[in-house]
Amino acid sequence: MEKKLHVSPSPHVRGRWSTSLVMLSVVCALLPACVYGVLNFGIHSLLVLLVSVASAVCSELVCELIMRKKATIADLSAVVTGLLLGMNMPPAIPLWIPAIGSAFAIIVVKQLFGGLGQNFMNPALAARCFLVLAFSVEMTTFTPENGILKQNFQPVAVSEPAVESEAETSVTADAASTATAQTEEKAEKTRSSDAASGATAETEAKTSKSGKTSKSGKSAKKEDTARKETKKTDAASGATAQTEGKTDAASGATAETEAKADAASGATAETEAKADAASGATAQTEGKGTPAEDAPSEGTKVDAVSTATPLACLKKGQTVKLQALFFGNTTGTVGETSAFLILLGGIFLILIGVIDWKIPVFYLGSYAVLTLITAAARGYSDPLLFTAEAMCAGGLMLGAWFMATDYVSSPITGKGRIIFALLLGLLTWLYRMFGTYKEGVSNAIILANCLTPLIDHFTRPTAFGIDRKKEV
Amino acid sequence: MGLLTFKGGVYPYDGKELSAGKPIEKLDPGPELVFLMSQHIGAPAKPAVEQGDRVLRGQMIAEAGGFVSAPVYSSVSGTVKAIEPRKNAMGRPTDAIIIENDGKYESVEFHPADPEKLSRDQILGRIRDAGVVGMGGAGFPTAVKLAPKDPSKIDHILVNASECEPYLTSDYRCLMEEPEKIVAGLSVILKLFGPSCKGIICIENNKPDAIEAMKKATAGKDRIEVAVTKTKYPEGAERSLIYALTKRQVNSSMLPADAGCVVDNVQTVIAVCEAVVEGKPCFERVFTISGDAAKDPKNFRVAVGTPYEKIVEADGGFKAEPEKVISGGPMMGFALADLDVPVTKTSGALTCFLHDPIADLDSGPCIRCGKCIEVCPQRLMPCRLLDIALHNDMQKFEKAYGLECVGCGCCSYNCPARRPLAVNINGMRGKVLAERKKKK
Repeated sequence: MEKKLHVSPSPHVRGRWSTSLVMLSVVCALLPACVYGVLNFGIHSLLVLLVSVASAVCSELVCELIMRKKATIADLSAVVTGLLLGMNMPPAIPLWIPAIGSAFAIIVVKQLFGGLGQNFMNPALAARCFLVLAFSVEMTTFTPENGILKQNFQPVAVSEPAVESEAETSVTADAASTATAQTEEKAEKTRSSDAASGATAETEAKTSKSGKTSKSGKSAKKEDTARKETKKTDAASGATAQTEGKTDAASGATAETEAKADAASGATAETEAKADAASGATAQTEGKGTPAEDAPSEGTKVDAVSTATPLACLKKGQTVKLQALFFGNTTGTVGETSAFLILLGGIFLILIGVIDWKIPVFYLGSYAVLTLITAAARGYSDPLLFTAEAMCAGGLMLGAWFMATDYVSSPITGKGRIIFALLLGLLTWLYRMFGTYKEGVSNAIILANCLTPLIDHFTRPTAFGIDRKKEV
Repeated sequence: MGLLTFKGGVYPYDGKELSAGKPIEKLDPGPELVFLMSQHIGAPAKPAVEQGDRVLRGQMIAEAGGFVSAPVYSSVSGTVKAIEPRKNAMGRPTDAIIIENDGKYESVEFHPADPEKLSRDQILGRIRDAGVVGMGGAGFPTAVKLAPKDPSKIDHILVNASECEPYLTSDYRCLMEEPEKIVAGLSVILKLFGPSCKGIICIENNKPDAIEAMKKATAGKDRIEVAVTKTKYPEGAERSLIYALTKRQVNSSMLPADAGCVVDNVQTVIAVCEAVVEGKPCFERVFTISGDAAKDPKNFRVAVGTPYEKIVEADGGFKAEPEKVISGGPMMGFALADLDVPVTKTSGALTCFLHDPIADLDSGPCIRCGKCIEVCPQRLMPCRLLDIALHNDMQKFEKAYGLECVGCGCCSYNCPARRPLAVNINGMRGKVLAERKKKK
């Protein structure tokens, strides 16, 4: 024989999975949600994604050149990191922010700790948290441009036709009245959404008489000391309602709301003067009506597309349109809005065997159970619906299917993954229900990431045939 | 009912369709045969002939070198040409008797016996004298295996017909062509144990016709059953098979007998039948040549001592020059540097690849995906064991159950980062065991 035979240790065949194929399949699974985000929010969001990915890949390449390591951008892990970070960006964010974020993710979180496989927390999430701290205003402003879909965002708070409220509220089926009377004492806080929740509003939405739905904005009359003009007053498709009532400007949240149609606490008439639960008294909103929550809508006309995220509304106990949330017809970051498409991607990854079903299932499951209990305990009118909405809102889906399942920063053992996921459910629930931030997923995952080595240590499997009890 | 199986394992492409349909053919062993003295686990056999001696087919040419050892028989008639070291499949030189084949195949006389009239010791004696060893690959002397300390505790004789290693079809052909010999061999083995002991022939569910054939052959035998196991690698690994059938777990410090089981390969059982019933010693086996470089993948009955070259020749040479030739299957076989290696009692196949499937794979850093843990039939953490092995930390290695590794290679197979898990863990395991021996 002329050619020399190859000699190598067994096994002489390998499975189909390679690192880059794993990463590629994750990218594929993320794409539907990305495409939807771009269609939804416009071309700028595409740029956000592209810049984020490009910055991640370039950072990795430069880092490895400087460190004289082998360039590993072909394994696509930087693409995944960049894409995930981009998907976590508000659609209208200035492009330099995702660029910085991706560079931070790759350089600080990944490469400085030793590159792929060595980062102790999810780089994309760590970068997101860094960005939220560093650029809190930009990172929490969700003023979407309208994308190709040109849809009117359906959100956000739909206070249920106040069942228990007194009959003064004449709720016509299509009456879209947004009556927000938020008082925000500090004007500069107006954009950081849930600060607004401290202020309470009393609204007696007695007079939501809007017969017509579209664009017939009835002016909202408000008594408010800290009234401000909303910036956007175009397309007031949401009929605003008149709100009568005193607005208690005391931001302490002790304000009593007589709210008959108080949206707070999910359409139950009484609001427990929970600081977060009592704000943003929306009357009824249907379709296009939204409670402006980020820009406290003291203007007479409320922007149809509010900048409130569904989560912010949920935090206040308002209910939102489940269907809109599930399919993503809502505001949010570029890639997190469509729970449906994320779910599809996640299930795809489970079916092809890339991610372990245990993490998303136990995470979402434990979160759902805890939320359900809380919702019931707080007396929300439909705890089940509230839970379903909470599941679809915000970054939970993206986090549970794509962030928590990150190989490197999640436990490696089956048992460990279950513990990790339960911990995530608990932390997310705590953050969302009791924390000051409305979003808790990224913080929860990052915190749990830090516990991964510990979880791994205590969940090491016992070898086959070894009885641990008999071991010394 | 779910199929019997174990936790973990992988599903490599099995390639069995290449040679499964080919009946066992005879093979001319060629002019020169090489009989290695170490064809089994235990002490090497001691040559019982000298250079220049004339030997007959079926004549003992080397005697057992100890209790755990086995004699070696000539498979041809001819002259002893030399007694010198030759390479085995792993490339290591071992003592060997080289016999020049005179092509006459003059045979010694075999002495058949009726197993019903033989005592336990006579049966074991005939098995021992025939040089029967585990023909699935391990090569443990069968007579030793069949004589555990407390035979009454054995309640399962498992005939391993899983043949989970890809490309191999020799066991399958035996099931199809010699079912009555398997039943006869198993009946002989059952005679050695108590009446509560039953024999189970374990076949993976990818061989439905073999299952059918064995069911037919075992009909009416109340102590013999056919069990269907899931097609998965390494279903045929001893510990995995015992677990699949009995849910009993065996670890590295135990013998299968401790779990009340004896596991024997199909071809071993056939060899037992031939040894006890026909009085014919073990010097032949069924052998598969397969892979995409083999011109005509098929099954041969080969004489022990036949050089691999002759098998390739008999198969019509290679389709094109192969890049890799493996003695055994692709999961646990040994890649050969050349074909100047003889068939032993334990070699089951030659797998020839035109392209080395792993030649271009680059290993990368661990991404902690856990795929190695998922598939490890011993429920180890191969990724962690590799790190420990690379640090050469023997204590930690033992503590992390590194000695439990059976070397099946599932971890390496499944690792997306292509890390060299199995080879390093196995190497470390060898080191730790050697260290232990030294201390004793």
